Amino acid sequence: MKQSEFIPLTLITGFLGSGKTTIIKNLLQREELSKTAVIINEFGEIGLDHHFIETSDEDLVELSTGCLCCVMRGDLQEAIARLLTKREGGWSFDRIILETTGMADPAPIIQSLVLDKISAPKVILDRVLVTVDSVTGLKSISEFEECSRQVAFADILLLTKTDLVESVEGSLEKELMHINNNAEIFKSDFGIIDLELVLGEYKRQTIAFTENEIDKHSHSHSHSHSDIMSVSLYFKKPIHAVALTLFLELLAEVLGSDLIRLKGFVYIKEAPETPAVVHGVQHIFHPIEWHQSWPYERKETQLVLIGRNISLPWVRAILETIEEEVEETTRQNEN
Amino acid sequence: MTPERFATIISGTLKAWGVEDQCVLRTEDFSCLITLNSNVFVEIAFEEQPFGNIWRLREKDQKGSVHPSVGAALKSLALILCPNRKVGRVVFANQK
Repeated sequence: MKQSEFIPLTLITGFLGSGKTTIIKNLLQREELSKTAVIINEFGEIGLDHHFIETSDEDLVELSTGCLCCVMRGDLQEAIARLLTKREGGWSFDRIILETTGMADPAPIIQSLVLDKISAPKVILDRVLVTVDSVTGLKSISEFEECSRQVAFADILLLTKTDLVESVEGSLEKELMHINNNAEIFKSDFGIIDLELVLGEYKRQTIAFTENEIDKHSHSHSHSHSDIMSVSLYFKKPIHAVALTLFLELLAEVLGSDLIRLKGFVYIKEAPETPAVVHGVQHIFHPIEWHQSWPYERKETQLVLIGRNISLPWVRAILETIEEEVEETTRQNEN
Repeated sequence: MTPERFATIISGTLKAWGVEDQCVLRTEDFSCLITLNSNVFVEIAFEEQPFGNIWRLREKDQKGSVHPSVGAALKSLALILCPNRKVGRVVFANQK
């Protein structure tokens, strides 16, 4: 499939009042985003957010009968289908921005996009931007599960309203890294963000820390505000492709809904030069893709797991054991 | 397999299932007796046999079961310790 047959979708989510609409409003005034369709999901019968965004009515699809994550997965597909029909009719857009409600759980939305098999051209989830209020973010994370889950799904975290505080509290940034050490953190003054965060080539980065830093990091978070956390696994030995599948199945089996997100590169024995890109949202995984080359110096598996009750030594022990089992079976078959 | 890794697998799994605090573990090399709420007793053991490695599970006063992999063993252990826990099933989307 050619790249032009994809339409990138940027998912913008964030807790109530964290500045999503302001950011989108500012983005849409940029010439570079003039060919952007917007889907706004508002909670309640009377939607207001769309009134704050100046754009022509046909650029906008408003979903206002409920929270997208709860009841409107089908509606999202329908909204995308409506946009694509309009596109066929001559209205040109090359990008979609989807704004969720402040209480949305991104998981079902992302799964819905990943599992979409019908739309053509394909609408591809490009990146997840999550706004976090610099003033109230820590309290929201502490009190609302929805807020922590939004942070967990971020590719990019945007600290908003930084103009309202003298300096962003270190404890907020530490908390964000504790929940999702794989996201990049940026600041936004007055709702303005660097266009590159939306348009720039997004590299699926993994692993923001070295292993020692992670250890230090986890020790410094004995008073974490959220029970969601991220662990980063480094595994030097290549593993068999079948071990990867068994590993993912066992993680899903044991962790269930506590596994919120898993992403990273895997060093596969059968294809040592091309790392496998793994990206899962709960138990739904993107098809495994093969990166053309290693994005970092060493060939090794680097995986980030985000969720609850996940112990890094346990993840490592499970992967080592499964790989040994596969190795043993392979050896027996060869003999 | 090492005794440390064996212990890590058992304790990490119980933590993931949220029953760690309700369990008493007696681990010895490659064997662990798990007591859940003083009324469920299950022994899980890893053994290296000439024909390959196996995992044994045995509830008190019951016939045991043998499993060829860590995945199969933990699946059976879950049925004993937390039978109502919802499990995940991996689905690979076919997006392209």
